[in-house]
Amino acid sequence: MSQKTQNRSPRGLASNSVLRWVFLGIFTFFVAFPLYWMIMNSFKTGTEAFATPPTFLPMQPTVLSYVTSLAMGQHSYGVSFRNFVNSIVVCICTVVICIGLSAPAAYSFSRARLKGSSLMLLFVLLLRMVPPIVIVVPLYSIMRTLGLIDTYPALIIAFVALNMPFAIWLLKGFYDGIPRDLVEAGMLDGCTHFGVFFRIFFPLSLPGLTTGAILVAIGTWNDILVSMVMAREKVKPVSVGLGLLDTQFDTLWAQVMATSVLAILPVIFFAFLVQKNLVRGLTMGAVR
Amino acid sequence: MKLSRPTAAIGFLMIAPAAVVMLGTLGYPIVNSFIMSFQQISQAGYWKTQFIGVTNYLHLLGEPRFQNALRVTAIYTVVAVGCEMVLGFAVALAVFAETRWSRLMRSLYIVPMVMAPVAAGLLWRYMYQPTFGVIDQALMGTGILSKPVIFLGVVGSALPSLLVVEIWQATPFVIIVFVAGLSALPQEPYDAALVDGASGWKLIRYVTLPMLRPIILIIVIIRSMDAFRAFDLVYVMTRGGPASSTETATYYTWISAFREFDLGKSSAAAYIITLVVLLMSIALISSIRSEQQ
Repeated sequence: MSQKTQNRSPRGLASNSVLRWVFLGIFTFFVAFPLYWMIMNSFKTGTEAFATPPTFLPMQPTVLSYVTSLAMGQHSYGVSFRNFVNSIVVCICTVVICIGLSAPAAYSFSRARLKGSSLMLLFVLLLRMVPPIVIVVPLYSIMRTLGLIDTYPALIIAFVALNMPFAIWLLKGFYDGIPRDLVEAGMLDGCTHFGVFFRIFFPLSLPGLTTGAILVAIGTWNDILVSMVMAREKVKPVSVGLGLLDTQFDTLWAQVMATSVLAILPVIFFAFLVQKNLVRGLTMGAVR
Repeated sequence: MKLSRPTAAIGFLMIAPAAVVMLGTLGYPIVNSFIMSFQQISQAGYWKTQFIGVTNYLHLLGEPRFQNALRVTAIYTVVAVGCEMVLGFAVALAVFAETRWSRLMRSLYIVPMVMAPVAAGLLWRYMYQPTFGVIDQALMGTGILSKPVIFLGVVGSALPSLLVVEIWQATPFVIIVFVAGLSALPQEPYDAALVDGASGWKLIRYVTLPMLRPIILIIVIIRSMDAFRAFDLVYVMTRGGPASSTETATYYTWISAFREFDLGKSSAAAYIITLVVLLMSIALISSIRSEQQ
């Protein structure tokens, strides 16, 4: 490797090395092929999805799998339209409550100089590290006692709780990055602290709030551990329905793939919206 | 007087609602489950509880199936995080340079990362299907194999097959965090090292890696925490089988709580998992702290 290529990209491998492109090619194939396979097979007929040797493009492309997969959900086998409504309701309520409560707390942790605030923050971090299974077992008994199993509140309460420590840390990370001068200016103009929070901080922290909201929503949408415990038939979300698309002997793979595509499309759409802030979000603001 | 800071009263007022919710929905269950872990809880028409001391813990630690679950979880975590770190760092170095292609690839890598593990598990289970599955077909078509492998149905191959899916989903996270870390590094140390005649691997070994240390630790903490609580992929792909060879600690706990309804034992199991996760995280966090001193 010559000095010249090093200068162009000294942190990485030389930018024009063959090795680099071969390696990237193999890795990208590893990432992309399963995705390609999912999409292709969702457009195949039921029998073609079992064909040997497999076909790389559907011979008779059809959207039948998408139609039947939703129709089959009506018979509690698979994912129904109802399951999508459930997931959407739970995600929206969770995000609104979770971010609504976490944002003021994060603002306070970031800006107020409170006695014991670093200890409280450490405590929040510890809560984030506690595996969900620890909370799920007693929460199940509590919800049973309250008669809330298989209702929206059971799911929403559980998800708000499990996401809050993460949301607080993430938003604190974003708030820490907002310059203090702007806030001082607002104070001099006669804003109260709540005024500063809503008029200055809120707009400035919108990227952070959006990132937080979307990451909480994605986590909630994708979860099965909590949902399987708290939901039965009435409020069953998409993820759980997807997990039940499963019989050892005659799994209808074309339909399974179609349903999977439907189930992950919203998540992918929202993830691309916050792509720029994803790193800070996923590391709870620890890495910019 | 600092104008830009809320007063203590307002500060606490803003934290209070979140604190109440967390104490009620996280704190109380955590304490509750600690108490449950010392009880025998049986379901005989109604829930009957009886204090039995550390019996649940002793039973668990002596039970081969739980020991196996801990071993599977440890292997899963170490192999997954190890592979993801090495692979993720290598790919990050390769896609770091700003070209149109590398930006496109980075967007692509986000897809497996954010998709539901349930969906990822189903997709791979389809590809792992013996005989007609695309992986068996490819291996037999190219003559690497003469007869199909039952990836998820055999003790030796089930866990590695799960790990491939875990690595497929999580390596992109490692990549994008490393890419962010790499672009935040200062240029001067590289210039100095170049003047000293360092190049290629030496730059990476003696300049890049030491400067990335805090970020490496953050990634290891976050990834180990997540890998250690592995549940979704196991549930969708193998249900812990064959012969418990993919039964992780969280899956074991879930089964004993919600299939066998032994809430006392499962609480104890959950506490053992928590203890391990906390010790692991505290060790890693304190090494970051000492790094920053």
